[in-house]
Amino acid sequence: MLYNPINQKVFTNNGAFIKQLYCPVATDELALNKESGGIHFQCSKCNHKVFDTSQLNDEDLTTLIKANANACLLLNPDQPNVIIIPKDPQS
Amino acid sequence: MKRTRTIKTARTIEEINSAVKQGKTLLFEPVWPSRKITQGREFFFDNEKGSVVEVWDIRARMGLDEKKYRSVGYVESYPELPKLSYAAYILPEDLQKNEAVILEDVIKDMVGLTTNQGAAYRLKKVRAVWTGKKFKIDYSPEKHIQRIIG
Repeated sequence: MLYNPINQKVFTNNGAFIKQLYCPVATDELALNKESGGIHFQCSKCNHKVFDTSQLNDEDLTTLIKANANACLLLNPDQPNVIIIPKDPQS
Repeated sequence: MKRTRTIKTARTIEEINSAVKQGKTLLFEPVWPSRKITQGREFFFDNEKGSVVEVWDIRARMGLDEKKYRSVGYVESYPELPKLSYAAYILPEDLQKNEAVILEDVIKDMVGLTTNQGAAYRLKKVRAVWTGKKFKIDYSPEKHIQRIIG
């Protein structure tokens, strides 16, 4: 996946837009509780599931966001499946 | 339970004008780009297109075809400079002293995210408390610095 740190948008490696990361409650990692064996965390500030993108490929992510556009994501720019980009792929 | 309110930031003249027209109170602050906010950029000349492209991620640089792309320079600099040297928080009329809020786009430059390639990006959103005169920002780097959630 591609990540633009300026506007926090995430794209597939082919440049298709997935999601703009935005947390309305300004949560942080300390508020996340890992569910055992799962690919998501539970956010103690809002009780939403936060999906760990390090364990998802582009197809998984696209399917996830198509099913629920508001699904929360956790992304580390250092994770192996991420490339940091200076501009959105379409622009 | 009362929901924590979000304070918006006016970053453009248009946003400032709009807020003033609506009778909102603004809290102006200077924008001083921090030297701690940085991004390494390598520039490559694309032999086929005849133009220079900018690459931020060393993993992307390693994947480039050396026959097509030629490195022409490298610099570490601020990721994206703001258009204005000031910005303003748009204050709700009934904002209470000691009220906890979320600043949607914090004006003061603070490191919000770092990478193992040496890049550091500004903190975008943060919790704060209104003292009656200014926002006291609830910030500690270890809380915000590793991964992004949204």
